[in-house]
Amino acid sequence: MSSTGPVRVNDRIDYRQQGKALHRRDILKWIAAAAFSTPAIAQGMADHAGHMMGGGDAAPSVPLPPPYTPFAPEHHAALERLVDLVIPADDTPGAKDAGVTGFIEMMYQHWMNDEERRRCDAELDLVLAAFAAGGDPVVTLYDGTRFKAPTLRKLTVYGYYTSEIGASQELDLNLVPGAYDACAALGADDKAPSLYVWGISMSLANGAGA
Amino acid sequence: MDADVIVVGSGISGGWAAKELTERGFSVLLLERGRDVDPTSDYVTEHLAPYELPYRGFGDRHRYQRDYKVQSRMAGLSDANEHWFVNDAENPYETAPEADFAWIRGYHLGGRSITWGRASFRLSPLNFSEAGKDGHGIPWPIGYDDLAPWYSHVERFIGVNGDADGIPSLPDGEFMPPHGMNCVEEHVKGAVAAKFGGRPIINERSAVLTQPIGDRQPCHYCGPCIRGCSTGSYFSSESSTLPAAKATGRLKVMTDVVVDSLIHDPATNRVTGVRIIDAKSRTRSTVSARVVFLNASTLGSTQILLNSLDTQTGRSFANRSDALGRYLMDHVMGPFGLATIPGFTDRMPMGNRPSGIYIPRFQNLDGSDRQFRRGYGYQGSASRQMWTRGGEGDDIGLSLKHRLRQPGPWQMFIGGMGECMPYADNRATLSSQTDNWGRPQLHVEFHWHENELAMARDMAAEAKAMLEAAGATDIMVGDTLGPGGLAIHEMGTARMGDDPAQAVLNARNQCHDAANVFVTDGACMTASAAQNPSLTYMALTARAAAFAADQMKQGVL
Repeated sequence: MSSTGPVRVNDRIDYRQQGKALHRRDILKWIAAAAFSTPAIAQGMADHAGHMMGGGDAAPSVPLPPPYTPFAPEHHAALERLVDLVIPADDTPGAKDAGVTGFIEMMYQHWMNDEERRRCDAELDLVLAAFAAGGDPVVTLYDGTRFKAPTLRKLTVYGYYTSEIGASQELDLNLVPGAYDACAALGADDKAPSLYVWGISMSLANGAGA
Repeated sequence: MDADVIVVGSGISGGWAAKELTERGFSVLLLERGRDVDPTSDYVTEHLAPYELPYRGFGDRHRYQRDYKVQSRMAGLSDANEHWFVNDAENPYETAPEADFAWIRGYHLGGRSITWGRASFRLSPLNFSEAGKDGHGIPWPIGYDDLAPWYSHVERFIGVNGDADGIPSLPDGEFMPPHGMNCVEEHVKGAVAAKFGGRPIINERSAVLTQPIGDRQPCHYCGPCIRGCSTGSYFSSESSTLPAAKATGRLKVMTDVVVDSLIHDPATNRVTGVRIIDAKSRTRSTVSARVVFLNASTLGSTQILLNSLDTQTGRSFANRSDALGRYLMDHVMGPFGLATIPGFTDRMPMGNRPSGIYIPRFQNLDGSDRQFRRGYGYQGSASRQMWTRGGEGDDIGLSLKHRLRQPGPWQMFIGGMGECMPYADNRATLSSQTDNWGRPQLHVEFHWHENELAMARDMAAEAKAMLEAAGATDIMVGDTLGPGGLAIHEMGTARMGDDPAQAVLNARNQCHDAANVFVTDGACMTASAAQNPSLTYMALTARAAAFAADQMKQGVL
């Protein structure tokens, strides 16, 4: 990817087509199984709004991720290499193919504060230096046991497991379980769920470990 | 007359007023200051995956700091739910740095019934009897027996799941089967009962269906209820009361209508109508009715009453007691315990339960055994750590990836929720600043007193002791309180009481100073108790609506 202009995090995976089609289909399957009468009840609920004046606002819609400008080519390439070292591909794709580089670039431009951006800049410089030094990056990225880029590591984890690949291929994404088992037996091959139903928050206040 | 009754506000209590009054044969004009909500299309984030949200659920942080300064103090405001919370920049109010109050609001049809936590507990005979007798507040003008049948009426209609636990300080109700505790919660329950003389831990009682009611479907365990529920599986105005009111053919709804004030007639000491403002055009007009129900939320209703003048005195017609605006309460919330529970790693909940466990009040039940008055309970749950734990640490590569593929250790969380005393200096008044509609802004001052601070310390100490008893490790506790308001249980400011010199409302939620004005949202609360209050607002509303209907039939109102 080059830094020729603003892009969106998910341009390449087009989640709005794939993701929604997939999950809506799952939900519809479940609805059919449960003999579920949403349209009737929902229509009844909708009917009550009789405006006498004004008229309602347009329904809210979910915006797309904001466009962002990728890092300069050298930094972008280093970040892409780094995220795939943090979460590599094996039987599922790694962080690079999950679009984590773009996620971090988007968060850098639109979400972080100045202090957090400075920390990311400094960490990326350390990463560039480690790569330039040659040798095994898994060694050169460490000071003793301490990883040199904790903020970027944390962003990689959050970006990966909230991506479509991380959430639905690497982990188990079940948006409408349809049933509850308080203490189900966990098989050796069962993956952890990816969805955080109470919401997730990410603090970069003190780098990793915060 | 535009209707027999005007109901101001379409949230938890306003929906109930509309339902009960229309079902008793009266026409209702329901005024909602915010936008319309169509449950077929407006729950826009329901069942979206994280990558379908613009910030993956982390929220548009810089915009929140600018436009959602207050709402973002609430944990969990995100791009999955921000459309249910007000833009603070467009809806300002004043507070004071040394008496800060966080006013969390949702201006849309259904109000906070869409985003509420759904915990549904009755107040107990003790809660009704102890107020005013220990030097704090005034007595309730009603007792538990007055409200018990209305609790049953409400529970049967909204659907509450839970167990009949037989606990005197937390009366049983009309329950569907609970979702059930997981194995770690059962473990903690057993350990706490053994160590602390049978202290109970129970299933939270929650207004989420485990059995169908009419077209409303049982919970499908998707988890984030706050996004809205198109299957009507939890109680909201949209799922429950508004369809019932609509079915009578006697409900008219106006959205995007801000109420300025009530029109008071000093000759009769009655209200003749409501001054309204089109939220968009700011055009002012009036609507009239025989009776007005204020259900605009605690501070919203009080703001309207403070701005409703008796033309002879130039002061609020409803405030001869000087209690209007005073005695603002919010639950003591914030102290917590969080710990790892070793073991049980071959077990994991499947599906996302929309509730948890509850530890009912165990303090000061028979006389006084603490350094504070009244008491508190805890809500909580046990769950397994998931991938976010990978944000910590220094490992990278396949070992990190494979570690996070499996769930992590179990953790148990319990968070206190305690009674807040009514203090005259915790108070809402009108500011000299006006809002976008030319109404005086609210000025709110609130601070915790020693009783609440002592309670908070005890919450942390008891949480630690219970988690230790359960064999927990890595125990973390907190005993600090943030600003008032963040429990989102603000109440008081137009309290009920028999004495018109001390209270705004009588035993029927009727204004002492104007018989055809009823206030049945959280503003009416004489004391806060420790229980989540919405169920009580609903029961009080249904009871007051039945009384108002009788009075209208008799021609008294």
